[in-house]
Amino acid sequence: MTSRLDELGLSERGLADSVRWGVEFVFGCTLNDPDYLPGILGSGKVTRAVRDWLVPLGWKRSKVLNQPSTVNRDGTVSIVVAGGNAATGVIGEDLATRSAKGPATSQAISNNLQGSLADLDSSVPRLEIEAPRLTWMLLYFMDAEREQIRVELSMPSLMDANGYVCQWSERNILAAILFNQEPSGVTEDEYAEAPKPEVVRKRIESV
Amino acid sequence: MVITPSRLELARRRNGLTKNDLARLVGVSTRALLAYETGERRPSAETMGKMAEVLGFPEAFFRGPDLEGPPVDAASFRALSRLTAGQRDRALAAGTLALALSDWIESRFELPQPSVPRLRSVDPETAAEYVRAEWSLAERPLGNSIHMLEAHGVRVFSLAEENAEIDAYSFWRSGVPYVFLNTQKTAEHGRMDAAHELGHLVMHWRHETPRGREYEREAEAFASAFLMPRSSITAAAPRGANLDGLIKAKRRWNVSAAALAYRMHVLGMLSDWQYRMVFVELARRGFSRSEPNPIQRETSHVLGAVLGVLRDEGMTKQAIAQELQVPESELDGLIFGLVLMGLEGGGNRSGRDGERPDLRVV
Repeated sequence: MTSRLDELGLSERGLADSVRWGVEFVFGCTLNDPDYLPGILGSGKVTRAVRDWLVPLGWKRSKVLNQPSTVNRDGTVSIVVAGGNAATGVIGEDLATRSAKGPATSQAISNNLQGSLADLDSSVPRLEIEAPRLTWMLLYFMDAEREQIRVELSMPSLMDANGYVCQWSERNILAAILFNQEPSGVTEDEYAEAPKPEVVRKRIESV
Repeated sequence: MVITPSRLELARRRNGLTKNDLARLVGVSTRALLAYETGERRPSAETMGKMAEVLGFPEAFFRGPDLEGPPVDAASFRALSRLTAGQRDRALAAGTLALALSDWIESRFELPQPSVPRLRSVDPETAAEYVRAEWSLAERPLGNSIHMLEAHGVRVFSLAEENAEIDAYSFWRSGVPYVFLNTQKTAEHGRMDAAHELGHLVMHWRHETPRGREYEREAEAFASAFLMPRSSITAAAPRGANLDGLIKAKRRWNVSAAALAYRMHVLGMLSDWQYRMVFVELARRGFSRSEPNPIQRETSHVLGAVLGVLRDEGMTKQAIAQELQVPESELDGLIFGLVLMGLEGGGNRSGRDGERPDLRVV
């Protein structure tokens, strides 16, 4: 996975930090917030964090059919942030997006498939066309029960009839981010203890 | 008979009695009592005997020299507005007895020299960082806060009060800092109180009056920054944590969940909403007066060591009280919650874990 992330010009640390930062805003939501807010807030702020990280490295903000993304310098890699279902970050489970997606995702999947086919059919001479843009989804799922956020960077390859992305040509699962984490164990040595002051008798009293 | 008038007033205040109260209990006029306290008249032996009985002090106490009390203006009380004059006087009278005990101890033991910085016009955050630097604590979580104060020359006593309104108070006397802690609060509360009073000693040492709410806020901010240094919190506190997360995390700094939430809010790590919800949830779970995931109570090293040596020399608590001419119960009050050892009979000798204090007789 690391080599794939390297190839894309990304890092596990950068992706995890972006998710961790953005998800903090979701923790601030309550039952009094509108239902739609946590989802929008989470993906919106994670998108912001991804851009805060990558734009200084030469990536660009992009928007296709109202879908925000972050695109690398030569336009071949696009990152879109989305909430995933409980299978996010779990190998072998049926991963899907948490909400239905629209035409932008449909178009991105189409581009991804073209890119894949171009890779497969390497015997065919390449036409001088613009390099296909491959879209990766940065998916996150907040698992309250396990007190963790699971994250993966996966390439969507199919949407179902309801608009949920349900198939993936590649999944890169990151280490889960633990919240409410027991602080990394503090050993006795780490505490600042006062030296035991000497309490010295001035004189011996007769008893 | 000849008495020291100030001692009569002290014993009366320590009992929380007005002049009228005591006069009535003893069966003399208020005017007569006033005259005893100002030294204009001397009580008869019979009256003195009654007064001693009512006040619970041995008669010898009333014949001792004048005792120096804590300076009223210098003593820093939190929740001053909620304290009655009687409550305040009672606590200060206990402070006077503590000073007598402290002087008695210092005449027999070499104690650590005071090394508490006294700063001028410094904000609490900076003051806390300064003290940490002076004491070479870096950003590490603080161990036993009472040991830390004592190692730097602070004389720590227990508030001999069951008054929940008084958390702690502190003052300087002749270059020596004193702190009185209410040891009936939670252990986490006690640590925060110790750091709070240290803040007063460091920042408000010039005995300015009146001591207002602003001073209290500064001491609170100092305590928070002293126990939970900014870089330590930003590095290790769980971001976006709910109450359960705080309850786990607080043990790193040995503070209350509420204190950690406060610090994280100040440092921008909890939103206003999250901060409020922590308190709502604490109340809902019944932690208004107790503390979840509590820490062990902190004790005094110095008092434990002193009393241990005296006991080894055969001096009982009763004998110490007799030398000081105070009721044994007053002595108990001043060390209550700070010393684990039983003065007579078994039990731990030292203030901690049954380990013998490192003492030597010279």
